[in-house]
Amino acid sequence: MVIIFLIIKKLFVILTKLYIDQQIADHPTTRSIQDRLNVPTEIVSRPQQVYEALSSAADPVQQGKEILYLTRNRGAFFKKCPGTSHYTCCDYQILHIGTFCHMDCTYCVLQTYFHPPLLQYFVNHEDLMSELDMVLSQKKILRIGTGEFTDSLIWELWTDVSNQLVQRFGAQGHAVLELKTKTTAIEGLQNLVHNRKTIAAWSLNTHHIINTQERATASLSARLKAAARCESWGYPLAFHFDPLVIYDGCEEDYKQVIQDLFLNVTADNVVWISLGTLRFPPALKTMIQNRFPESKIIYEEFITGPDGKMRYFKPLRIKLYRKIIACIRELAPAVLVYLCMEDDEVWQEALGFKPFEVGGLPHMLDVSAVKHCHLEPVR
Amino acid sequence: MGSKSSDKQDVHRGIPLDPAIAVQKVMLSKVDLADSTFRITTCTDLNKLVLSIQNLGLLHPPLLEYNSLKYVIVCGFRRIAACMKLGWKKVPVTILKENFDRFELAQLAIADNALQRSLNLLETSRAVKLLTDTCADQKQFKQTSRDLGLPSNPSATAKAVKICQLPLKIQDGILADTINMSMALELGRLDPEVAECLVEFFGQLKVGLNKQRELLLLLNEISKREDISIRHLIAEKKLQNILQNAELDRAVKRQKIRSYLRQRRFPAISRAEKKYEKLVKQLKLGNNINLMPPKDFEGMTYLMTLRFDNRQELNNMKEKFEKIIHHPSFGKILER
Repeated sequence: MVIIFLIIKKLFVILTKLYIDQQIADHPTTRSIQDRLNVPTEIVSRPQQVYEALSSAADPVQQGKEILYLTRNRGAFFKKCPGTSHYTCCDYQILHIGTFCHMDCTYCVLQTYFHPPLLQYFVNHEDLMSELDMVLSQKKILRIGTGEFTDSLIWELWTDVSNQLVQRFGAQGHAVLELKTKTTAIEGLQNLVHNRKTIAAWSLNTHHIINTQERATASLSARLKAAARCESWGYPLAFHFDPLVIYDGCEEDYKQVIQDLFLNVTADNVVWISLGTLRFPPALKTMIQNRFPESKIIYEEFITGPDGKMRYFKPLRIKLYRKIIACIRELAPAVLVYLCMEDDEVWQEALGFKPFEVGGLPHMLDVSAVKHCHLEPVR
Repeated sequence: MGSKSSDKQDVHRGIPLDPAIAVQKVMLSKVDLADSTFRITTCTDLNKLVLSIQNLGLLHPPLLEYNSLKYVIVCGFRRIAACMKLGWKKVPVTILKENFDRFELAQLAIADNALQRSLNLLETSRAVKLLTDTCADQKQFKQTSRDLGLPSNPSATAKAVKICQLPLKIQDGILADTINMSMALELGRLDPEVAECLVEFFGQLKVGLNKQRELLLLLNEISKREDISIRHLIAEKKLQNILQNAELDRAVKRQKIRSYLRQRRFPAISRAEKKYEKLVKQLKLGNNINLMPPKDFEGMTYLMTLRFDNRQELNNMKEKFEKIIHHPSFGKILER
């Protein structure tokens, strides 16, 4: 079997096979991707043929990271952030460019979110762009991101989707695109006319968590250096400490990450920092036990929240948030810090206020986006 | 299995029924007692059988196969053992013809047990394993299993076959009814020494499957969390002090061990629960008022239930409510 290793900044992507949906076999984007990938290719008439290839593997999740399926998105390209009941959501809109990820984080919820999880890329960009035009025609502040069902920048290796999106967002004035990643695949962002309407965002964690739980991702220093380069190209930045993982010494480690962060980037250029402690559907626990038997992250003190997800016992979450927020406040007092999927009590205890007291979380984020990304005020 | 002949001498592929022809006396020293290939029974108590043979004689001769070196027992392991116990040097047996294949011998061994009594879990496992080892044809295997009253669906067969290959202590646990098949298979996935230790632990506490699962989960997760083996955890002084305490009955031991393990697995949650209980106690709610915290202290909603028989009793609670609302401990409960 031919195995292709694509090496970009120490990121190894191992693709063993390309499946192409018969309906888009002649699509220019399909051709372009196929040209860039020298792997065995199979044209399929039904997605089930790909699913069968996955389910017969010893580790279907791993297999789903090594197979790329090119198809068209038959549904909507825009979706509301799935959020979860009982907790405050950011109201971000998802631009659905593809699914899953070749990196392999133990805690990744996508392992159990898709059935089956599979690297899948939608090539019908003409539909994407026309839907985007429709969405952008609404004269309201919009925060749109591609990093919910996949990593935003893993597709840089084979596609020019970010190029198209960044320039399209750069040509309007009331919406921002957030590209969220754990990679350093930023070369394609240089020299684009972005007009600060694209936020380059990184998911951050401690060295310990990156080394033990985030297989095949870029190191912390590489992520921070990539962020600094994006800043030098004029991009506003955002950072997501999600998931925050509790372990012995984690508080000191997270403090160190925050110090490193502000040694690399300018606080004034940071649109927002989100914090979210580890949470997961119960099915993911079994997945982690089976795929990552060495991982200990699931053996902390979890409870089942009202949304059915496992999360740390509330006082433990509050304690960690407080420490991290205090550290951020010390180094970057003006940066907007928000909590991802937490309730009013945690907001109050960790940040000293409840979102509704300041107009709600979406409003807080909109205000910061307007300020940092120079959005036109919308009446 | 073999053809059925109208010849009264043959029932199965020529198994001779006429004792005059077939039964012969064999020196017990020539019988390979170590070969348990065809052993299905798990019963080791021979007393009643010895008595019966002593009083009535050996009613049914065991079936043996001659393999050019020794006689191998196919049916009648207990009868042979009883005869030995009685000090017999020779025993009347039926020697099977040499043209019997392993699959046919397996069926004879299973039928001799399964068609005259219910097999226990381990015996069923031995029978299924014996058939699996001797029959490659899946269709034939399924039909024969059905004919012999054994599980025939692939999932049940796959589980059954594992049981007799588990460490002996686990098998003993099954026979002693300390653990069931589901737990036995779970234990079978662990390191054999850990599994044996757990069988003993469950045996000492005599807990049902659900509690066993809960204890195993706690032990396993503490072991992962603290990087110590389950064996060391069980051997620790705190647990052993509870287990070995002769003054505690089993129910108390179970409760104390569960509570200890839970506190160790969830220290912060356990502390919060204790603190809550202490504060609620200070409220002196009495028997008719119950205050429930949000599940796992995650939500914000408390639940208070009242029990009363008449208007007067409810009215009497008004004063108590006032006291509760203004009680400092109630404030602490809500502040968390």
